Amino acid sequence: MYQRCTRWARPVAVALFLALLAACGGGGGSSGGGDGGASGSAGVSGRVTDPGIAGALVKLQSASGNALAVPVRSDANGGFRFSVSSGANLSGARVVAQGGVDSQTGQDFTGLTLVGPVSGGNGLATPVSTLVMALVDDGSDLDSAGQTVAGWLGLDATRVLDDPATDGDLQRQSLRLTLLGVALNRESRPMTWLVDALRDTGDLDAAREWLATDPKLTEASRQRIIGLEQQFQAVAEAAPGQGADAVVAAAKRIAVRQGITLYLRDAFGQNTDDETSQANIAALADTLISANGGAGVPAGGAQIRNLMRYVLQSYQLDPAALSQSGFTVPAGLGGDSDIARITGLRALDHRIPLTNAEKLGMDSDARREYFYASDLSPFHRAERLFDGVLDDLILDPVYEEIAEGLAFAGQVGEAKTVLRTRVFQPFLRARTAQRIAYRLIETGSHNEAKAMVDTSLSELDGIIEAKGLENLTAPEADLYNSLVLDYRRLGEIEASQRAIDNVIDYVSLYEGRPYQSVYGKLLTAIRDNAELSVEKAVEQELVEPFLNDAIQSVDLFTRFVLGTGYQVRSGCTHYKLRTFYLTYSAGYYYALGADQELENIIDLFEQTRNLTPCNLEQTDVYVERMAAYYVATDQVDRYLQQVEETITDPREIEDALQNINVGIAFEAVVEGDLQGALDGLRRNYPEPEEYLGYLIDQSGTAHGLAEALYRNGYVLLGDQVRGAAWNFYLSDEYRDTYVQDYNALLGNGCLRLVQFAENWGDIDTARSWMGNCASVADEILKSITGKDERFAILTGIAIYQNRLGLIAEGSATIARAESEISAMLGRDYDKALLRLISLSLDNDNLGLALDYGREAQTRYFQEAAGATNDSTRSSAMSGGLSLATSLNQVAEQAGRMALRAGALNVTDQQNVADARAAARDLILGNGNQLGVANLADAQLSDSSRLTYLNQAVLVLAKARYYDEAVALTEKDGLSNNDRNLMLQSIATAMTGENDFAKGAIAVRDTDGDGRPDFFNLGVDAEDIAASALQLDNDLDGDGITDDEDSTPFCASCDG
Amino acid sequence: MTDYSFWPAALTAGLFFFVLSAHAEDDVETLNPVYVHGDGAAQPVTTEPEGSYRLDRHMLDDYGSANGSVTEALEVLPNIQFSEDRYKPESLYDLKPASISISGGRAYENNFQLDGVDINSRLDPLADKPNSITDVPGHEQSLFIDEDMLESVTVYDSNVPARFGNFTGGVVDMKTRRAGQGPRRVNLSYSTTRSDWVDYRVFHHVPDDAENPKEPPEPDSFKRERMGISVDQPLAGGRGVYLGATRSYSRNPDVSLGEIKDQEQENLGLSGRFYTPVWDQGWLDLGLAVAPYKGEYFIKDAKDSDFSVRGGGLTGNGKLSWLTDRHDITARLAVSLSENSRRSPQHFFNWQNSPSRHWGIENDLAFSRQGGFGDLDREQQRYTFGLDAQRQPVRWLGRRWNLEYGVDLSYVRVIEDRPATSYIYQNGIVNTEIQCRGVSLDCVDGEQFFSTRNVYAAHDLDVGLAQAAAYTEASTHWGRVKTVFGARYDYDDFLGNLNFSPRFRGAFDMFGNGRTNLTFGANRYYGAPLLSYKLREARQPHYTEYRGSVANVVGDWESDSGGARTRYVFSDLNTPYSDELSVGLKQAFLGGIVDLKYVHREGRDELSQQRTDIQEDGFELYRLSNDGSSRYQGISLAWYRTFGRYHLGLSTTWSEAETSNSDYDVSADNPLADEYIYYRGKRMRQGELEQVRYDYNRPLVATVSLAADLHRNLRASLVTTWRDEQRYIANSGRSQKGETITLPNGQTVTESLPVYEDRQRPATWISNLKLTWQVTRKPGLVLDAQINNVFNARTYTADDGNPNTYDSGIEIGRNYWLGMKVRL
Repeated sequence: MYQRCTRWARPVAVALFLALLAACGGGGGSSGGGDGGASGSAGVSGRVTDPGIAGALVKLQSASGNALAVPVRSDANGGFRFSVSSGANLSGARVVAQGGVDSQTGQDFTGLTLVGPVSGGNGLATPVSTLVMALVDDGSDLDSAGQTVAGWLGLDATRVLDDPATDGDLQRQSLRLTLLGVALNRESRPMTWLVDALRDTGDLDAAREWLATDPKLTEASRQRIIGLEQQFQAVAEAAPGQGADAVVAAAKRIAVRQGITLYLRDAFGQNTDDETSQANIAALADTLISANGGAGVPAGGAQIRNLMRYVLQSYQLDPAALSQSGFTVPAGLGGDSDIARITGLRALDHRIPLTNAEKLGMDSDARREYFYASDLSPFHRAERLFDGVLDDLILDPVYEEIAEGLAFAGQVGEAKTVLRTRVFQPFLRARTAQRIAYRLIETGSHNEAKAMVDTSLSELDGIIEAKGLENLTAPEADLYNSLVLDYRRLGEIEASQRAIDNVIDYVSLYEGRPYQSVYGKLLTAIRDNAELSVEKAVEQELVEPFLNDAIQSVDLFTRFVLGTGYQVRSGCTHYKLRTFYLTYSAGYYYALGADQELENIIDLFEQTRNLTPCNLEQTDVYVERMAAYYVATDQVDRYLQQVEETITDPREIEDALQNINVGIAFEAVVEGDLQGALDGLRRNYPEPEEYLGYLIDQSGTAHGLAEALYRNGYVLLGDQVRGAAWNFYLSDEYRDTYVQDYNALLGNGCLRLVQFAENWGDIDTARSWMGNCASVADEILKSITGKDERFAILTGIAIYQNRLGLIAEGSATIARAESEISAMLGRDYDKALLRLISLSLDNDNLGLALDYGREAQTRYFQEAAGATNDSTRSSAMSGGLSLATSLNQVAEQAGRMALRAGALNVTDQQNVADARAAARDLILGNGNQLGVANLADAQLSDSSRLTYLNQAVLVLAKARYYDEAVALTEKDGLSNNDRNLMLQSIATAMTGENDFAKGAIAVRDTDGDGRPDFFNLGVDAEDIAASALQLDNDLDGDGITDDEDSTPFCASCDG
Repeated sequence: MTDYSFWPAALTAGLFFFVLSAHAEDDVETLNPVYVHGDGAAQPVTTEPEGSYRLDRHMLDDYGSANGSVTEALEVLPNIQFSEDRYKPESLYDLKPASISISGGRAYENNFQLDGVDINSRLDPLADKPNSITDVPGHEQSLFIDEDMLESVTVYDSNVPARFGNFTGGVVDMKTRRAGQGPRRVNLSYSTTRSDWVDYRVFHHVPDDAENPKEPPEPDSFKRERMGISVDQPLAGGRGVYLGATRSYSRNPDVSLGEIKDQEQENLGLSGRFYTPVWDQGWLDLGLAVAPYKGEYFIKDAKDSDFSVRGGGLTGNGKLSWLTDRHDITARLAVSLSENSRRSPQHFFNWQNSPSRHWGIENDLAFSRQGGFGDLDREQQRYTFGLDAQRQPVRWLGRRWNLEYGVDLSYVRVIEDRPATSYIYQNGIVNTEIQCRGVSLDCVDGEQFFSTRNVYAAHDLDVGLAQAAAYTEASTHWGRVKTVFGARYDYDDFLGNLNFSPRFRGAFDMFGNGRTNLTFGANRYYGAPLLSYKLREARQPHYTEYRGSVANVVGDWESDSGGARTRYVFSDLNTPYSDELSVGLKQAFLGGIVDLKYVHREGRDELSQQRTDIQEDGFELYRLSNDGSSRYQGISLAWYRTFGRYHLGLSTTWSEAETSNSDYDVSADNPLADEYIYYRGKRMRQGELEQVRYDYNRPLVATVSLAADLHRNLRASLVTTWRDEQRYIANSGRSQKGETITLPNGQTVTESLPVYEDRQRPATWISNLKLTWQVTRKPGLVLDAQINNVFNARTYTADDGNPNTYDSGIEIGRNYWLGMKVRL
């Protein structure tokens, strides 16, 4: 029955209309429903204060802990306001605030959570209310909890939930609680520790002492508690009998004085316990607070170090003067407007000069520590991109990278804090913990790594428990696999088994059941992951830990394969998929050289085929895929037996036997009949090109003879076959057959043999043969007139010359290739230029690459100027982005060159800078010349504009023009999500900055001279000695060595 | 209208008829149409120059389809082609009548009339998917009239009289049973078919080494029935009343989420007529036909997705005829209401599998889908008034003229209403700690929430179309030549065109004995405006919203990029028209008439879709244009004869149709024309492919129809249709490497080009047999059986011939209907 009032009813009288509307249930009253919570809203407001805490993430929760509103950030005074659905039950509600900065004391609340009740639409979260709410959580009612806390803190029970600003005693205790909380903020739940200590001691001072010796806390936390004693006591005695404002003012002075004292001690070893020093420090502190607009800064942080360095250097103040009578605060300091700017930065300001005692010199650790604590740190900069963003989907992946990077940089505590306070989604949290652990393993911090792997596993188990094992996804299975690998690296074999239990349980869920596509999807994902691992291990020449990682991944994949259920077709219950995927397992183990595992797979393959009678028939087509593996494990007879006994289709038998020809030849060679083997193969493969392939490394389901011999350890025999292949290639028969076929002569002939020799480590032979290849190419070129073909042949030769380190020859070939492109037109010419850039880079000729890049750039600008519609603009932009990407590769190649040479010459340094600038110009334009971003803005299609802007941002960020990239995200017409995703791209580029190459012992080179700023954490002297890299003695390349340079990371600061 | 060259012709025609009426003198003789009768029963073909074929009740009984579809009964006629989809398995349980092409026109370019009332749908006739987000399935007929309700059907395929307009294909003029024209009769009928009575052919090809071979397709299970009751009651004073009701119903169960669920369609037909003499020489005929259609569907493997589609409607009409001294006048007044509406769950959710959304994982699905696409109502209201007058013959210029003229006024109102905004939710984010802050629609605490949704905003669109038409025809004899001059003016306020359609036809009695007539004609037909585009233009495109989470608390929705990229517009369009030339021969032969005819049509200003460049607002526009064109030529040969209880009919049509675009949703300038493809081993642009129409266009179609009494109580009718093979070009589904290109992201790849190939639709030879057994005469009990595809021939609707594509499919072979009729 239709409920809607049809339009036919509309002409009736108004009175009837109203009646109908009622009868129809109100028509379209509810249009959304999905906007829940936004309509009919009421407000809840309040503050997070100690005094006011700015930038805290504030949540509104019901009595049962459920969110009632979207969390907000507190304003500069700690204020907040929520829009709450009018139907929300606020009884027992509370506000929960995380992080933020005290607007008065400068205290950083990162890692701390303050909680307060909501009453009458107002919420107030303070350190004291947090204690009260903790007791409520433990079962107390609000009144008795207040009385208990009041007892602990010596306060009036009726005031414990008030704003500390209303009472001096309340404010004092609140500030002291904050000091303790901040000292504990590396622990998982600082305020809980505090409550427990108070519960045990009944008194705040006693609680501090108790915490200082609590063995359950980390040593670092205990030390921070101990170091807090003086400041803690001072605050207790601050402004007795006075109001809250006076208490806060006193606390600020105490903190700044403490900060100065600590700085002088740490930087100069200066003891300032004497009264004179204290008086001088007090005077200086008061002036700094005054210059900072009355706001304090916490002791021990980056801000006080920035301040003191600034004061000492700018006002030429000798630290020793602070211990001398007659000290006067430098004139003008109180009115110095730079002070507020300096305290606004919560990292070391790299532009503020270091004092002589702090200079970094050639200390790698000090340099690394300074760099990552400074505003130059990519993690600090990446975080700053998102100051106004609140979205886990955007931020969690960014913080995941930041946490991993921090761990890699040795800032493990910060990494853990990021994990605990910034990454919210459970799976991202689990993965972040694993990534931190991986870095800790790399840097040798095994205990901490183990704890992180445990954390990750615990998170992941929690997720699976909550969502159900049947909903396991491929990323989750991958993460379990990673954790297994981590445990194994740590020697935790038992734990590694525990880590994989859930995955095994998942496989068991489906064992014995029909095949399901859900299972198949996971299986495919696991296979892809295994394949990547295998490729990576092969790329790394099968060294540890890559080899072990790959074997573990293939083991997991094989476990999944063996769990693949049965299928039914035409009355036949078969295991076709399981059998099919086993051939993949075999291929992976083969590639990894894992012969024992490979033999095991062959057994499993045969067993699986025999599971049901009809399965043999269903799977006979797969037997030929296994031929190479039988050969590799020296089981040719067994293969032939399989073919004879289990395959009935004559065509399949023929195919299967065709694939074992190499195996038969292999056996003949091993038995000493090399010529017989060669003759046999020749008979089977009368086509010369095919025969040549099977002699060495025929790809596909069958493998080459020489390869099989090498793999089975018959190196000399392999060399003989390879030699025979080379001779066959040089024979008249081969040459005469392929007079006009340059693909057979080069790509599938000479160059293939060269590559085979290179792959098996015989570089000398490869180089020697390469000379022949160049000659063959010259011969071929005599009869080819087409520029495209000539260019293709020459570039093909140049690639191999570059790979083999034949730089001079490669250079000459590139020059010849260049001479062929003049006749090309349009897009072909552009493509050829890109190819030449790539070749020049591989030839270590950055200047030449840049020259080609400049020419291509000019062509791009011409095309861009003539682009008048979406289509032509798209074409131009695609070209521009490709070129900019190529130009960015100049820097990457420079990093690889530096790794080999230990330095870059001045010209190449300039080439890198110029290439990046050229990439920037391609994106942003230059003067009247239109860049990709300009063209993107002209696009009429929003989606096209967005597509190209996204890419422009990424390319610009990779060229290290971050500010310009950020500026692109601020263009009109982009949704918040678009903008945030672009910022995410920029952050990824930032956190992935590496001036050398992946896996190198260093990552940073500030001045681009090819010498590292510092070595990675965990790199030992042996690694350094084995490398060409040596620490740069002038980090910023300003000509001042770092023994002397007070701003070692700032070339422009010394002028 | 922008074709100003026609204005002189229009003025000339107007002047002609003005002068004719001014100088006319009455002539007492009358000339009626001559139908050549065999042995008492009406023949489909007349000697008149108009290209019409009439199936009376007897022929409908013999050749009407057991499923009640009016259009399937027209298979025995020439110049009619059915879609290639006609024999697809779905047709067995789809209650919608088969679509037809008449003289090369598109299915929606015909004019269906019921008792003189236009029952065409001006809604979107191309929409055919029940579960489209923005469309409700439509059909070119707004009411699905059961053939059992009809007295006769006349099809005009050429030389169409001027009283018919709004078509460029053909006219199907249906007359319902006249009330009380004989003794009282009460009829009951029931017939049925089901999937068990169908021979299916299943084709399934998979590569031997496929990683995950698909299972063979399974034929749909279904049951279909049709029943009817009618009462024809003569009343005193020459009055009569007829009441009839029919019901067609089909059910096809399908497996969804592991359960068998029914999808149902129901088509009711209620018809009532009242006939009474009025005044001295007049009569009043009142009719009401109600034909609601309802389909119950669900989205496969989506929970809570049941939805219903409702269509059809009602038409009420009154016809008053009376004679004056000079005129036989008929006034028509009709109201028809129809709708295409959907009742569906308001939102659609692509949930991730999770503890509370687990039906997906339980049924081996990647997602747990739920819901529907929201209610959507489309209604069409039509009000028609018409006046037709036949004047007594007049003399002018020494000749006797028969005059006929009339007017048609109509107003069509189309309403589209989406009463509530619908969301299509995507990108479920699994988060075991997510807090939904009370939002339960699209967020599950501790499980997941959606980060993206497409928003289809509530809207209420109302568009109207007023049409006015006037026509006149004058016929006279010039010796043995009969000529008919006609003209028709059409105006509508949608396209704003005043269209003049000249009509001319004639017949030359070659030997003066009435047995051999050479017919000829030259006509222009203007098509009807479709309101679909007006609706599309008014509809707001959908947009996309995004939300994230903050500290595992779900956020608020905010606008995001994405959403629709296209809008529809039209403006300044001409009305599509078709110019027709025809020549034919009608020869009395063996008691029937051989009708040999050549028809040539040139379609101009046809509607097609043009994709524009991206506009300033960022949208691409699909602009309706007049860039379409078509060309049709056909030679048909037909002969029918009825003698006693026997009937024999032969018809064959050779035709050739080319078109720039298959329908109004396809661009005449193929939007993919610039895209490269592979065809016959060459890399070429798609636009270079030929433009032959591949559907409704078998080159040669021949039908033999035969009805006879096999026994005193057993009657059989057999319709055999042969359709010639047809070559066509199709996308093979394969791809081939092309040139190296650079993608927008800078990546250089080798392009992958779709491979087009020649394919052959083999000839088909389908015979349908109907057997009727008169068990008793008083009361009359008849059992009947229809055996479709009696020789179990291949229909070739499943493409099983290409081993490279591994197509799978199902064809229907022999299938049965069984039924009974009771006459009281």
